[in-house]
Amino acid sequence: MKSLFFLTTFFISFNGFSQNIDWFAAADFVGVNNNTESYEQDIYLREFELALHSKVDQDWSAALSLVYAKAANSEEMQTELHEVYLQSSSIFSGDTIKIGQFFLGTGKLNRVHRHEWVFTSTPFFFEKYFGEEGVIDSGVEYTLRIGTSQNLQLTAGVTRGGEFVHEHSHHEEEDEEELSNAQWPTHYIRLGGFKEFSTLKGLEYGLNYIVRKDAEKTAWYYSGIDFTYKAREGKFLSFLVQSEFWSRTYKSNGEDELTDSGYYLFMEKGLDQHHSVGFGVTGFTPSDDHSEEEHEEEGRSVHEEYTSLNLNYTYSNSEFIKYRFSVEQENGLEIDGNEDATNYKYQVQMLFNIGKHPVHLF
Amino acid sequence: MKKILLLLVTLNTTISFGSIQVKTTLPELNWLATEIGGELVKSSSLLSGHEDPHFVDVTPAFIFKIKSIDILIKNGLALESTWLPKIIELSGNQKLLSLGLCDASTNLDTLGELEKTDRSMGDVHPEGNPHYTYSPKQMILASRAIANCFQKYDPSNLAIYESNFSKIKDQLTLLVNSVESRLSSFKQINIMTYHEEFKYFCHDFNLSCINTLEDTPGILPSASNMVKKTLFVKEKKVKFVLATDSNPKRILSKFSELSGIKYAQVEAHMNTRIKSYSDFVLQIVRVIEKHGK
Repeated sequence: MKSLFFLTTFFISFNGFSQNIDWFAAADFVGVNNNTESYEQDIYLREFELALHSKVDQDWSAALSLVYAKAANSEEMQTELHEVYLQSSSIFSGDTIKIGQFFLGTGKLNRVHRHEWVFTSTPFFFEKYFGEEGVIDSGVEYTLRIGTSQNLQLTAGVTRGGEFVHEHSHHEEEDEEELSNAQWPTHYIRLGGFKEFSTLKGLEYGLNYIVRKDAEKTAWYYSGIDFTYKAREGKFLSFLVQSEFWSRTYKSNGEDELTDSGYYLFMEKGLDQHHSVGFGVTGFTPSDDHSEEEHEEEGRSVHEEYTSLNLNYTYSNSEFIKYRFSVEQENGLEIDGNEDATNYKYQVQMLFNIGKHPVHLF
Repeated sequence: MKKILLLLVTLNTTISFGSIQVKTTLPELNWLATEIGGELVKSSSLLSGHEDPHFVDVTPAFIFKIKSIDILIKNGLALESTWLPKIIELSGNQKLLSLGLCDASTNLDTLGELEKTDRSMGDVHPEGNPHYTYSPKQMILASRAIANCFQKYDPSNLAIYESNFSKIKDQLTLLVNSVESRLSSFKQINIMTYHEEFKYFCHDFNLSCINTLEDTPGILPSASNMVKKTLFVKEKKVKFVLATDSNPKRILSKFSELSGIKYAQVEAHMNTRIKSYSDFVLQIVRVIEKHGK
């Protein structure tokens, strides 16, 4: 994989421009300090992404992204192929088909690369359900643009059903085993709408449903809603509200069905094109099964209700460089035998990108 | 069967003789398209005129709006480059990949072309300054480009588009003459603008727009830059700062306090308050008449 990474870099440097291939690179540095000593304490390059995108022919465009990433307190950097896919919106007259390996078109965070998220930490429940950056898999996804006054779009996809919860500490052999034994392909659907209040204000919303059955024959059913409200004032977002609520039901052979749920709600006020302040709340309600393994994430154990409150300030030097400072209070953690302990997490983040970044839908 | 055939023929006739569906990015271009297309064209603008057209979110609503149109008229010169190509791609509208995409800037003698650009230069446009719709002289050239697009798309009505173009050209020429006459006594004064929006307007009416408050296009001026510009406006006896309503009022007020020089903001585009193009241009003239004395 490393050789592919360097080959691509070489290709961009010497050949990319002449082929009309757009490229970009994004870096995400994070410094994290927790007042609980056993939690992450690190300053590190969390992610470096290199991506190419271009038209392939009159109908298809292609995208490829390689990521060099590291988890906090880990010495090992992982080099991974995140996305490589073909996409066309012309073959089916305005409907979009995507084939290859990609982030699933569900929810909100899962459709946006992490370096473009509006906060630093992955919400606890999201990391548990979908991994720290979202779910990547190989398959096919189709978006039907229905129209109507609500600008409805129906996205449906089927993917191989291999690794679902993506982490940067996994081993390829384990992936292969997991993939070969997956019982069902992952299949999902999202019915999304968009309410345009004006060309400066809009609300995007979606209903989501994902089904999969893993190598251990556990069937997983995820249902969720997402919404994003944005108000723009000239060059900057003057107000943003983004939220997702998800519920997960899982059942193993011969065992009881279990359900847990989680959410995040984040609001940000843009003061001008440089300064913005944000407030977020996230939560996770575990199932009745109090097995520690089931409710553990990033070294954090949760037995009852988990909530976190987050305050952040972002300074955008330009649209290409951001510095973010955040303070987070996490409640409901099990720390040193105390099942309702509180942790304070302080983070600083620096993000920048060069090249031509692809444009996202809302 | 006969009824079905009759229905199909009727439908086909309706489609063939229906209006050409046109969308424009800016309201000023919509005004031109409506005047030139006349009854043959049904046109509306994607933007309402209250946005900064450099920075527009790509929304599903835009995709549906252009999904089945015949012609999309853009300002060009990379003004819409951050959002329009994505909307066109996702719409899957094949017409917009050929005859249906009309660049209104095609015939312009562009100002401010740059051989080489990079991000350190801010929001710059290598093909040239894109803010030509403020100048009625440039709008004559833009209307020629739009008429050409309509004539290529619908050659059977070539004469009608030509006739409508002549009318709009006459109307704009009258407006040019009126603006020239009213601004003739203001050619000696120095004006500063916030951004490079008035480059064509100042050039076409021989106004002395000598500098911008922005140091780097699209980036808020720093405190040190404002102090530097304060000395500049005093030295050059600048009369006032001309800006649009999309420029930051807080910065303009601060600069006005520092320098003692007034500023005036005009509407950046035609919108729900300014519905005619002549009113749009004359608002700039009135501001210069008021603050340029």
